[in-house]
Amino acid sequence: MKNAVPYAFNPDVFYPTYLIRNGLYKNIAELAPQLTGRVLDLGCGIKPYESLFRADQYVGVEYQGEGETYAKDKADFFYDGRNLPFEDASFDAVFCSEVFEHVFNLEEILKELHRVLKPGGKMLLTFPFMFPEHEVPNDFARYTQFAAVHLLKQTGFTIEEFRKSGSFTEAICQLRILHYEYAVHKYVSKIPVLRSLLKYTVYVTNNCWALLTRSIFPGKKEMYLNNIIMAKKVHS
Amino acid sequence: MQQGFLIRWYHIFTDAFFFIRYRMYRVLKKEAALVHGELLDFGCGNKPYESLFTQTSSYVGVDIEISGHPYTKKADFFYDGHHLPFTNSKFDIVFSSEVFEHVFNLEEIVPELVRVIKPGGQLLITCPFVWPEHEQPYDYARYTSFGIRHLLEKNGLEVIRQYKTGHNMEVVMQQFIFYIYCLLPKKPRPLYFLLHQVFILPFLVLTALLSFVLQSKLRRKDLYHSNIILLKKKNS
Repeated sequence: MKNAVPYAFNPDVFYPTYLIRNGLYKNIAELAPQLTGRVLDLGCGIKPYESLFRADQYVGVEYQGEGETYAKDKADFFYDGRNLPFEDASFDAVFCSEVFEHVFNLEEILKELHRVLKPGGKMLLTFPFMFPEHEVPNDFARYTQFAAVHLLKQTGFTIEEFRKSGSFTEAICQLRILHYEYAVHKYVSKIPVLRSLLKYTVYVTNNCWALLTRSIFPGKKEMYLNNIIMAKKVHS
Repeated sequence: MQQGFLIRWYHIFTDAFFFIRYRMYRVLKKEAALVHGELLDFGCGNKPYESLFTQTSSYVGVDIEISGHPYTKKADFFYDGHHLPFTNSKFDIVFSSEVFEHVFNLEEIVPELVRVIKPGGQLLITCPFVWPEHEQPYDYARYTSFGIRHLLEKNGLEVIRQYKTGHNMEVVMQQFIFYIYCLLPKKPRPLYFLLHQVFILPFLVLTALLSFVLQSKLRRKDLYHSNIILLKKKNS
């Protein structure tokens, strides 16, 4: 019995990163059914999106560096950040969500993903364009769509589909909430009523404002939240 | 003096990107005054910061012929995107401002920059962290402070000083102002000047006031405008 996607990964407007997570959830839910057979989830964490896939086998891999593991992680395998413990062409599909921004050797990892994927196999990627520094010091970069296309083509993938989630207005609303989370919240966190009041006011007004303005204001896409890419390994 | 990069306080009346430019100008002014010897400006454009380098004996600009920005290029040399037309250890300092985010082959370019620096010579780099996609399709990534540091340190450079310009709140406001700017007509100039006073200036002033009032505790730098990093080439 598969569990549904956890609240934090399919939240409502009361959640601080609602705009990011909702954009990811919608796009992954739409694209995930294309990934079938034996699926590799690189940087799986708690495998939040597992139930969206129609996989025969869903294999989660997590990075293990300097003995640090998360108790909640559901990884089936750990890897050293360089070599995946799998044979060539052993997966029908690869899923990798919100991981690339942390990888300091992306070209090397892409080659590894290419190696373990069967020819013609699909790869679903998501990574942010705009997000504060996090999980420091393991935070490397925010890539544009052009970087992703360049890197993927150079490694032997073709781009099947490219999407951006969020627009300029949504990105600004998300930034406001993140600013509150990072910089303001801790100063009011000890004052019971004000804490909840302020928190939900900031979350709900910004999230709802973003949803409302999405259809009114011009949806500029120079600034956005996430890249979502479906790539395919070229038949060789 | 070229308006647009050498920012004074009164540019708040004309420049929608006041904060990102002002913060960078302040740091560069301080760092540039300390630089001696022969300088190479990599990706020089119209050499907006040349006048800040008061102690250098020569100022050589190099740029690539095809790129996304509209500035008139004052380059003394053009290069092919791979090899710099200079001998080894020619320069005392290499300066490169807001260029690295556009370079698709940084792995190749950084060693090339290091090659033309004298042993013990310096490298001064600026690149944005939160900034919309621009000069498309020549836009590659936004590096974090850890990312840019890693990229440079692994090429035999050691960090002397590193800065993050701006702070969370200022970034949120600057991006919001950027969005308003996108919606305004830029020509004719007098019309923009008028609209700027109505739609942009109030937010710039508000940001300046908040930024001034905010205690240093509230100025978190998870979000910031730009990375500025000064490094030294190791002697051997």
